[in-house]
Amino acid sequence: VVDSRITRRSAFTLAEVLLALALVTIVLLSVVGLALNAMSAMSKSVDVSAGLNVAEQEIERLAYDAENAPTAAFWTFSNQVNTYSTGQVVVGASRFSTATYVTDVADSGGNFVVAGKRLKQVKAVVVWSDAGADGKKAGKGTLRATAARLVHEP
Amino acid sequence: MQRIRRSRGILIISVLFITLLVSMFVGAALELGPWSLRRALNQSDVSAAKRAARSGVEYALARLKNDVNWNGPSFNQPRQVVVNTPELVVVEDQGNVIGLVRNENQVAQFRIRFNYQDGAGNADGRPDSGLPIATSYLSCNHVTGSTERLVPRADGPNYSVPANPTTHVSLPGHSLFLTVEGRCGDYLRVADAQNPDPQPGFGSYSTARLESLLKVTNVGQAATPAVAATANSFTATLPTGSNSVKLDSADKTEIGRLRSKSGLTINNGAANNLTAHKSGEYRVGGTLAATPSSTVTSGTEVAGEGLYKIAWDDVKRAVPTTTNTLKAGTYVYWDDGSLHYYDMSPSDYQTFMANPVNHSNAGTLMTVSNLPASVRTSTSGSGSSLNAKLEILSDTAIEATANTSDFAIMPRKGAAGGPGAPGSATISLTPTQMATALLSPNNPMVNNISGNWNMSAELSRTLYAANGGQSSWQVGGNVFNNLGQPAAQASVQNVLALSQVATALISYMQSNPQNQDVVAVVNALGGTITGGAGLQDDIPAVPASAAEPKNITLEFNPTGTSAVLSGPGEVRIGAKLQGEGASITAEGDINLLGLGVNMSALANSTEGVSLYSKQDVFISTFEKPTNKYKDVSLKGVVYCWGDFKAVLGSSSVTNFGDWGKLKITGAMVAYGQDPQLDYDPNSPPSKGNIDVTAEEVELKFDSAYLLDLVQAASLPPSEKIQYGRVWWTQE
Repeated sequence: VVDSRITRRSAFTLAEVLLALALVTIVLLSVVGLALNAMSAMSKSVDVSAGLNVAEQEIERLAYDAENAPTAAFWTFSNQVNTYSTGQVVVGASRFSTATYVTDVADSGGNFVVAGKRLKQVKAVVVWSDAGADGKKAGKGTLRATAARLVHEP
Repeated sequence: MQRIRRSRGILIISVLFITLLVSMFVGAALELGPWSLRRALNQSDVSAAKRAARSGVEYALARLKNDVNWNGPSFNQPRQVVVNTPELVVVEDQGNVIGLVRNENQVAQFRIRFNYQDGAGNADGRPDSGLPIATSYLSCNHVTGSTERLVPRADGPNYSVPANPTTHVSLPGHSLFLTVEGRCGDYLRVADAQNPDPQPGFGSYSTARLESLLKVTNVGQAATPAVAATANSFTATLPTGSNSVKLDSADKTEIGRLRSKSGLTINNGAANNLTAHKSGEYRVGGTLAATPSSTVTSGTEVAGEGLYKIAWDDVKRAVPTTTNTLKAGTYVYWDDGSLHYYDMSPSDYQTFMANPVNHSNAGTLMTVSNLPASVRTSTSGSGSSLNAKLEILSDTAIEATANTSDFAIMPRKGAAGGPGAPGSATISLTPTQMATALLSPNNPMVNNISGNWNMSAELSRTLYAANGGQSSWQVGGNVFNNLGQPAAQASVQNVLALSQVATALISYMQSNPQNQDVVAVVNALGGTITGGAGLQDDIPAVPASAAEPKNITLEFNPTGTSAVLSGPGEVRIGAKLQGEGASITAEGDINLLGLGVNMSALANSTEGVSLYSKQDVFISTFEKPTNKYKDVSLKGVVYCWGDFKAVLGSSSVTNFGDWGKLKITGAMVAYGQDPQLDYDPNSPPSKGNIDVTAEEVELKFDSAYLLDLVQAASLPPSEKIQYGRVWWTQE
């Protein structure tokens, strides 16, 4: 008798078990939510990297074209507000809208704006939606990446 | 009791298991979430740092476009804020360059270090920068240098270059080594023109380092590069049936190009008498009379496009001092090796020595005591075994005297310009026409006052030679006296008999069609000379003289890196000419007569010129005793305002193997006029011809000799130097 009492006392009641299960469920759901957020952040970081790569490629493409065409309009263009060029780049499921800006570098001697010796600052701005090009991906909004560097007239 | 223990054990195990499970989920979430996003942001910083480094290279190259000697800033300039805009700030301080590139909220930085940071006046010769850069990697501007240069590592205290540094990289001549460090981090947000390089503090930042070795590939003047460029015509005469004018380029990015504003003519030679070592191009504004090989393509010579402009003021010339001034005049080596100076031009010396009475005139004996320190004479042997040498040890300026501004060096018997070919030339004047021309009141050769003639020196010398070296001549009542002297006179009473004189003159002229006096007389009388093979002796032989041009050497043997011989008039060398770091610049003609030429200029700076004449350049390498021509090898820029002519062969030397070869490495330009003037296709200059007769002609383009010449010439903005990438590493 004594042994059976002891055994019953040591067991969990149904309420205790249900409470424990509820707690475990809450904790697990929270953790799963955290993991989903993490995966979303990772996906976003991949997108950011892709956007940054697109921006850099835009600059390199622009610089390459300009360096190989001394008479290109690139060398006489300078505008901080208006774009030099715009375009669309599709990488995987993402569609990137690109815009480039070309401005003169104004140095103290004014040498960088002289034909043949020009130095330009090129900036690429890339905008895209993380919903993906086909809209199927669960997106949360518009993303943006920029890159800038100098290009000298060869 | 046993059951109680088992139940509690299960409880503990369950709790631990669930804790472990939760921890794994949390850990995975932490791993995937903020850190991956952080990595993306960090990648953005790394990319920005790399782009900043690339921007530094672009900035440096743009600066070099304005100043080929730029090394942030040029030597010993004070601190400069070169650019100060919201997007870009660049500060230069004693060789250290720091730039800030702003892109929205991101700030990246590039840093270039030229300063050795080893204290004032040490190895780099400049004080330490007020913007010290803590890196072991230096940049080096070696664009105008021609030899190898070692770039040290800054491994000393506080990143200084120690006294005996290790070498980071070895640079070839005419190259540029850029080490640019790019950085990006939040700490840079406070940076500005006053404080362009704040300390990073405890925050993280990204760095990238870009090393690039760039070599000068071309002097990109507005003028299309060419190894030979003429404002008029290019003519080459080769042996019949073999050889060619061969084009080549020392620059991998440039081809051997020949440009002629007028015609391009190559006489004789092989079936394809215009060839290229690899690939070449010709551009002709007029008629092409040559047969190019398949490796030589045709280009378009744009009518209004100019040639290389190298102004007289931009060419290095010797500045007269008390120790480097040589008097203008004629310097003559006698058979015993003694050097004699005559205060007269080579032409006057020729006239002077035409009179046998003057043969014994020793002029002024030149020794160490009356030669400048920049010049040294040495001798051994005598007569036909003489080995005399006049060395140019440093820059030497020829100073005009009251009598002459010309300079000449030669053996006592003079230097032959060629073998001559009697009867091979045609003078367009008949004896009657010549006599009539001589009697004309407008004739510049004669001042005729009632039949009493005062003759020009050219006519006097020509008549003297035509009369067989006799100073007096009587023909049909006409009496000529003092022939050969500058002031010869004549009494001309029988005009008809004058045609006999003209007949003798024409006969002599046909045999000596390129004698300078003959050319002057024919031109003055309105005639022309066609054909002819070469010059006779420039100076009539002096009796008992055996030494030839081959016995004399004018050698540039600079104690430093180079030596230039500069003259205010003609420079005439009747001797072997050789040496490295050698340059001759003359306001008159440059005449190299008598023997071979093997000289090279320094492949840099204004010393890149080997020959520069405000008038014509004439080279003849005929060796009279052997009836052969010697070779000519010139490295550097050959530039003349007038014509360039090289006679390294003639039809009277029938063995083509005895002709000389012409090899020019660098560039040659016959500009045809003062290079301050632009080429005008509507009014092209009458001069500007290149005329070469040689066994073989090899023209190899090398822009290295043109560098600073072009840079210094106050060129239009579109003219620039181009750099080619040798290697490029990024960390």
